[in-house]
Amino acid sequence: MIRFDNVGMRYGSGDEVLRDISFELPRGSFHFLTGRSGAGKSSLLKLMYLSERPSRGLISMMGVDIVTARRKALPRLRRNIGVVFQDYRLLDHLTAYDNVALPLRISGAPKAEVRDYVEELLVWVGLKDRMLARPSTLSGGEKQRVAIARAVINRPTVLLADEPTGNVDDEMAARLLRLFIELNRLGTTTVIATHDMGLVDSIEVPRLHLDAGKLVQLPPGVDPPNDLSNALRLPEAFPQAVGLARD
Amino acid sequence: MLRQIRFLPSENIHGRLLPWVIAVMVFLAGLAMLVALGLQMTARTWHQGLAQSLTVQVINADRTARDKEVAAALAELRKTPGVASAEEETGEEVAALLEPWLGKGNVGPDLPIPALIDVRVADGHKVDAAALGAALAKVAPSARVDAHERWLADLLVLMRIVQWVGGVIVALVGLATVAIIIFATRAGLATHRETVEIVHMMGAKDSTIAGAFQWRFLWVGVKGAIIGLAALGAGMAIVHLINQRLEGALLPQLLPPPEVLASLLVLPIVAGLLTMLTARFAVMRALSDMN
Repeated sequence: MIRFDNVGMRYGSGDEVLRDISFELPRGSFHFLTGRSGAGKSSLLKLMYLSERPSRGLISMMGVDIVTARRKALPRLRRNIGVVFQDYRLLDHLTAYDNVALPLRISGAPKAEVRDYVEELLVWVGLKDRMLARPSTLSGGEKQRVAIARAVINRPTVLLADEPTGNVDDEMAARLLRLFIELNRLGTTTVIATHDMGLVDSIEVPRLHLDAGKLVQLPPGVDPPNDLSNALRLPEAFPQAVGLARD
Repeated sequence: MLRQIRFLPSENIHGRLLPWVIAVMVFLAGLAMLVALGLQMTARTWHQGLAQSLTVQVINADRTARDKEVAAALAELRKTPGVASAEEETGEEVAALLEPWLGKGNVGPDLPIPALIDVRVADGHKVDAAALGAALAKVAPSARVDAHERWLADLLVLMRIVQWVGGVIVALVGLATVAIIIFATRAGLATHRETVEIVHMMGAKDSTIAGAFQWRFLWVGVKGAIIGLAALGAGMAIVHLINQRLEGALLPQLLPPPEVLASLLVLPIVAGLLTMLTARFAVMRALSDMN
């Protein structure tokens, strides 16, 4: 589903922020992406949601080599990738409802379907009474839930979330995690970048751990090594997140 | 291209001045078009009217002698091959021709004015003005043949030059408008870059994003053009009123013929399409720089 081969990435003419990244995430897998601030988590996510191109290496998303893919082929891929941004990136002039409806409208979904799906999802994330509110009037947690609803409304093939539970209470965090798990059960390949070790420890899934631009893959329950040279490098990613992924 | 997704803010995305700038451009283009088309139609009318006609002036100051010369000239003209008709202009007709220069009621019977004979040449025929002048000189010594083609040719060249200048002005105004719209579109795109990036990341095609901009700019173009056209109409109406009030005006009729006025109605459509397509092109170009 997602494959990186010796990928390097730099912004402009600066140093590489990601170096020799190689991994493969099978369809329906669930991974946490961990690492300190500045380790390159957001850059790795940007490569995965096709916002940036690598400076070297190969990236394959859903079977498409994005380095050589024609620009016209990318919108279709992007529609299958749901993204939860750390800073939400909601459109301030649109209501919560319209923000969540946007991916469906871009995909050309019929009006009735848009209405039913959006209302159902907003009720599910506890924003039934805030559907017509603008983001500027929403709390941080509410914005985050709108952002998550927008990312999953299209039932994406790949879901990428950057600190998706950073601004919600524990109960809502657990509820949102259940939503991600449920989507994963339905086949969505999920990568959640987080600092929240409580969240990481709450379910048994493998980790992609970044340290100074280098990546190691860790099985569930294993903490990252202090020295990357001694890291446990798995030849293949864990085929499925334990007990979560389909098949 | 027609499917629209509303993701841009409802307030204007192009700056408040753009409709006014387009209005000014349409005003100038309309003015240049009026001049160019008006001259073209006038030239055509003159050419059609005058190329097949001659005027013979009998300038003898003595009225009795002049009348005799007129009668002799008419007889000579009517037997000239190719002449379809030859009629003397009545005193009232001659007075009407002079009124714009001398003022109404100022052309009295005492004013020594030449007799005018309007000669119509039959379709498909040509009359040699020099030979006709020589023939008339034998029967009416003070007769002068005025072949309009001679001065009409120079006038037509002048009109063509003015028409070209008008065309060049319209083209320059069009180019300037395109440049302004490109700047306005880029400014709008820069202001809403975050929105555009998010929609782009959700998988919106370039054409979908450009579509959202182009329809907004279409309306701006049409609105600006209507304002410019209204200003042009008001200006023309004022000039027409002033022209009518001028006693014995030396100015020719300034109100263009209806078909020329009707052609101005194409301006809002052209301005709208130009604005829309330019905005679409500018957005597509800018989006091509995104991943």
